[in-house]
Amino acid sequence: MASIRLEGVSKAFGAVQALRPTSLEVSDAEFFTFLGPSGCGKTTLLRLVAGLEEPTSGEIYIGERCVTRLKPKDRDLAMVFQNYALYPHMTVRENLAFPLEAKHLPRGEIQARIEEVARRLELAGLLDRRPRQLSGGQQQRVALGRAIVRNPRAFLMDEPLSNLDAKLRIQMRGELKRLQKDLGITTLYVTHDQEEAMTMSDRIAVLREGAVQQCGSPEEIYRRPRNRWVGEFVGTPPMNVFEATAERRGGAVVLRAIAAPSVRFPSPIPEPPEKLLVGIRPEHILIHRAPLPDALPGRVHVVEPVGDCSIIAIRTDAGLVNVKAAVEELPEMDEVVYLTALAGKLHLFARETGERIGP
Amino acid sequence: MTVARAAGGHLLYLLFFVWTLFPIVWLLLTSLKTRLDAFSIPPVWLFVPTLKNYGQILWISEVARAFVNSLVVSATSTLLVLLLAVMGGYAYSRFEFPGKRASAFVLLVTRMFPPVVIVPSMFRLLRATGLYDSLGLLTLLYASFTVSFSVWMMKAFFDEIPCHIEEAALVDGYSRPGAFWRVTLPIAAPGVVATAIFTFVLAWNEFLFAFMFTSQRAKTAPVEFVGIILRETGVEWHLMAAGACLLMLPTLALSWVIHRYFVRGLGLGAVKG
Ligand SMILES: Nc1ncnc2c1ncn2[C@@H]1O[C@H](COP(=O)(O)OP(=O)(O)O)[C@@H](O)[C@H]1O
Ligand SMILES: [Mg+2]
Repeated sequence: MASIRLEGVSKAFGAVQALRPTSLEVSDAEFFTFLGPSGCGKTTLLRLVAGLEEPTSGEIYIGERCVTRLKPKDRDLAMVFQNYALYPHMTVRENLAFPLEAKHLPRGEIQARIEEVARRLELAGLLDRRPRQLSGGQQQRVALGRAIVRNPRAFLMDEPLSNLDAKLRIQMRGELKRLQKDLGITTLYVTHDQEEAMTMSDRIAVLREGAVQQCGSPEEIYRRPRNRWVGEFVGTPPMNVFEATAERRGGAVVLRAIAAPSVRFPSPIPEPPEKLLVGIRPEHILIHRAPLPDALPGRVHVVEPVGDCSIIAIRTDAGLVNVKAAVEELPEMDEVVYLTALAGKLHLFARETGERIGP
Repeated sequence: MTVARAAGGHLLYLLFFVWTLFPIVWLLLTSLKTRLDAFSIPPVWLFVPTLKNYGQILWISEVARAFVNSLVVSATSTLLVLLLAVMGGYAYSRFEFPGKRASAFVLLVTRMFPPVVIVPSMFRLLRATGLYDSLGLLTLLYASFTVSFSVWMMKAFFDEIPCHIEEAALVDGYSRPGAFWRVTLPIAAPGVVATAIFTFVLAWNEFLFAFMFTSQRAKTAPVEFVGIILRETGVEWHLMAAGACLLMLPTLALSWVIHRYFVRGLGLGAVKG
């Protein structure tokens, strides 16, 4: 059990800058997730911490100890690989015993630990099978078991749920979160699935092209995305973003969508730049059947009911707008509807840089 | 229609088996005949089998020694090649090093020359150095012939094992040699067996160099076997047949092993990610 600290860690593979200089600290027992699209450097980051890659620059600390130049075997971390990397020539029992044998634990203790892990992960009936005789979900549990059996200083998990089918993935999400809290072991978790990151993590670092865009609690990242990209990446369906102008009207400042000038929002900040981007999450848009002043008219493009609410895409002058709402009576395709935004839920971004403006 | 096709298929198999197996079966039958039966024309198909020929041929001291020589040379060169092929194959599979592509190419190309071209130069060299007619020489020769191909073979087997599995062992607390020994090598075991059999069989069957570079001490079984044909007062078919069967024995045994191992080896497909 330990904190993990990165100080200016970067990694280049030849000309490819897989990870830009990154500094962050993961505290003891925290569930910390790196979230980002494929190819953004998540695996590289995890492999750097594991010691499977050498950083181009920077230092890595586990607890108070600098491990940058330590071999993987001396870091006392456990890793769950995306495709599990079970030892195919060993039984499940031997797979679980393998990391313990490296520590030269007495036989009795190895046995006891295997039994305990097998009970916890419901592997008892599978101990004498080989990996190829297991289903994907079972292999995943063995990989997890092999990580926890050692009682390591931290877990590193590289998209451990991505090879499971949707239902099992959601179930394992909860199991994994619970397991991590029970064991209280610091966990670095990597995923491209923002829902997974939001539901499981204490904190998330959003990565894009090898650079951390934002680091914070799931709520912070959802409520206050640091830039347009994070706003659009986190949340399904993605945030709607329009170009807008700021105008002074009497005492108040209003924002006007450039593509649909009839639409006006009161500005949440007193002095916005003249041109900017306005982001609104799909769940913060209301659908009206009758015309309203300042509302954005549009035609329903497609309606996707998802149980308790529906995702409705609407064609407007400002482009395709996604709305997520619990509508009593679903609109028909091509029906004309009017959209307004919930007050106080706007996100403002600078037009050139996409950086967040205001609170 | 399908019945006819299936029957046709079976007929083809049958032809194939008769074609390949006939000489071997004939040899086996002859080796179990007495001298009288072996020479009778037309050949007898029903006879009282005897193992006397086997005893008799092994009793000839040169023959017995030649078999021992063959065994020693084949086994030693196999061990030598395995050592080099496992290490070399692993290096070619996992590491980048200067000259990797060039050396891999040379390794393969040297296999394409007809081996006989080196005989003249070798002959004089060996006479001069006193290596002529020694088991050590044959061992080295056979090892150097097969090592290049064996390195490639082992490389292919190591390529099949995902790096992730080895890395898992590194994170699990093992050094690179430890991970190799406990994880990579056991998974590559079918490849090691295949490489060993390949090398052994080539050394066991080799005739040309053994014939050219040995005279007495280091004669191998195939050379001695041909010697029997050429030397004896008359051609002793029954003895020759027994010798030939003995010569085939290790190869047959290894084919059986290879068959078992390859079936197991295929089962390891679950390694893939
Ligand atoms: N061993 C390597 N050699 C060269 N480029 C690599 C290597 N590993 C990763 N990369 C590159 O680094 C970038 C980040 O890769 P990776 O960390 O695997 O991304 P992610 O896990 O987020 O999908 C990618 O552009 C990838 O092509
Ligand atoms: Mg990855």
